Amino acid sequence: MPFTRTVRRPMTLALMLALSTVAGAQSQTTLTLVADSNIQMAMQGIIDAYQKLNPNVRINATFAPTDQILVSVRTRLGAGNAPDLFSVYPGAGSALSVIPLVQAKQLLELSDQPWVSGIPSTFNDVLKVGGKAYFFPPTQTTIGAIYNEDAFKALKIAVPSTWNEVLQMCDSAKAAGKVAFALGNKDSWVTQLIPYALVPTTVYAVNGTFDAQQKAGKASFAASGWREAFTKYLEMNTRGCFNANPNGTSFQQQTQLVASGEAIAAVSVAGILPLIQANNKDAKLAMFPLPGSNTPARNWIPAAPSVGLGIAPTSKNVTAAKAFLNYFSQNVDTYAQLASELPLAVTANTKVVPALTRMLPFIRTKKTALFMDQRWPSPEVQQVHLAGIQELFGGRTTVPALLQKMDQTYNK
Amino acid sequence: MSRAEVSPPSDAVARAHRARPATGVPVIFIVPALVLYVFVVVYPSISGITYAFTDWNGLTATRGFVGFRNFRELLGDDAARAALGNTFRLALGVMVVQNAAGLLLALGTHARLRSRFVLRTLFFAPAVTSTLIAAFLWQYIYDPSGRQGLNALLGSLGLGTWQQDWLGNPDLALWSVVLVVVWQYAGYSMVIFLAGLQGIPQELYEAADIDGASGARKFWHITWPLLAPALTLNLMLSLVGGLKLFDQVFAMTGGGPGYATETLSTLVYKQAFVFGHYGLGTALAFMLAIIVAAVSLIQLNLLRAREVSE
Repeated sequence: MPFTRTVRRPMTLALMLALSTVAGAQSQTTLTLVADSNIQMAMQGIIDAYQKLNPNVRINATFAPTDQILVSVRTRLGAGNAPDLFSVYPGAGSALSVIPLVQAKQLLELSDQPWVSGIPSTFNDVLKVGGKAYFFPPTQTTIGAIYNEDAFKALKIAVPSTWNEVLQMCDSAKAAGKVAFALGNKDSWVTQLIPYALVPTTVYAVNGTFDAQQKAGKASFAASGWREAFTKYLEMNTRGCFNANPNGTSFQQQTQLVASGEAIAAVSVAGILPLIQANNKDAKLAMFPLPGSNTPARNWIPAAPSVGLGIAPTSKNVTAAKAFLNYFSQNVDTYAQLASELPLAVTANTKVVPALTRMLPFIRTKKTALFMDQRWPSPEVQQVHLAGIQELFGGRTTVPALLQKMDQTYNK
Repeated sequence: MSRAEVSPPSDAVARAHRARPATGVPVIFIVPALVLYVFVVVYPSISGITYAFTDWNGLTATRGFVGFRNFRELLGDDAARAALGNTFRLALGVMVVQNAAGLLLALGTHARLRSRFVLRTLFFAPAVTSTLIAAFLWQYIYDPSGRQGLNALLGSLGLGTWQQDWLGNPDLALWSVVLVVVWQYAGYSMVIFLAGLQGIPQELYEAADIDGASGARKFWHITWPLLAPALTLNLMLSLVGGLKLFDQVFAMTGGGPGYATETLSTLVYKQAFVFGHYGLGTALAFMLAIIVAAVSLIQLNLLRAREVSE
């Protein structure tokens, strides 16, 4: 065989292969995504499914705890090299909430996207800014008591539907040598969960326009049911509802207490259910509303849009990022199942993960209040709230003093 | 060899020697490092200071000049004042205990023990450990449940009443952090003290022995005065390190419970990254830098004066 033919054929083949690789690389789109690690399992499920359907799109996803997300994404936004897609929180209570981000022109407007019409108008003030949509909020979540059904049965404890029954549950668990509610207040975000579970009943069931009145300067933390909620929180502590030393116990330890069965319940967001389940695959977990009063019909629960995804205005892959959000919006039920959350719009036919069945009637009958910080004017109120609860448990402040400080910070 | 052969160089030669630096060769050697230092440290620091006089939120391209408003706000802020108090308590605690422990370790491992080299390595090892890893490790040691760590040890020794919520009790949390810093850096102080001890002439101790001096007198009249340079260095490093401390506090307590361990460094972080007040955060960082510089200068002058007098 002549030398030229011997060499020419493999070279031609190699050249064709190289050209096809280059062509393939040119059509490949890489999206960068930075999201909250609380939703990692569910988000990764959506990403994997999307990449399978769209092999030309690669999503480089990074997950980190909320506090780290706030730092890294804000810094990248400020430096002009933000990821294409990143976690955005409803309202104005966090450094990555939609309202301050839109005010700083750091979110791409998405009002023309097909999923916008599916956002319930009740959430407009925390999901939209000036009537325009800037991020995709996939689900809503709720806060309640995650409990071990088998442990309740073994201790013959019924799910409480009144405040007094909550205290009785604490007594029964304590008598059996168990912790009724695991509490890891060392991680400051955990401190807010019990007040958030009680305040819908003690504040919003009584005064549905509390937020508007507070904004207008006609209502305050100090002169509202917040006082009752904090008092009940401390009553739970003195009654022995919690593990010893909640201020020194971390969220991780709280999770392990429930997973190991040492504690029979913990008040948390619904999205934590998969995490506890991952620590004990055999545990039968479910959630019940934490009753804030002794009248079951008067009890409300917190339910609010959870963290969503926005697109950076500096993104060079806007079309691909929008396409991913559209796919995401068409698969929110899958996401909700993976994340143990609820679809944003709950109808009579909405199916939820069995663990959340007890929460559904409250959402259907609109006996719900948004997470309180979503309507607070700045992250500072939340910081005072979180640190103040640690101080309450450490005996360094009182309920009236904390409420006064929260009012001062709110009005600053 | 005649005297002339070893006589000093003539004036012409001396001038030539003095003129040599003018060739510029040494300057060229420092240029790369100087350029790097200017661009990596000096320029960002000076441009950073300008943010302290603005209302920048870290996101917008524009920032408004607000003069000294950020500084006035900080001076009237309860949280900043509390953080300042915590910072000084923490820095002083670290400085005193770390150096006392370091000196004891140095004296112990300076003795002619067979195992002294192994002990020195062991005591120095925490200083080369990542501060974050050390902080996470100590979170387990401080586990309040009594199932593991320090409380479990106290329980097994029959000292159950000594068990504490080390990081959750606002009265204890700051000192628990101090203990971790001391554990980590006492070995570092030990090495500096050891260098000082090894520089003390043995003849002085031999003379003291002949005079019948006790161990305590030898320490007080020989070791302590001659350790003054090492002490100056150790006090400076530990105080400055304590004033700037961030990693251990942030990893172990996040400034809590409440504000019990909030320091100026953690407050800078919160103002800038949690609240989005970059201008205020930079102003606080600038104030911290001035405080560190002022305290260091005062301390250095006092300690240098002591070195001279002794």
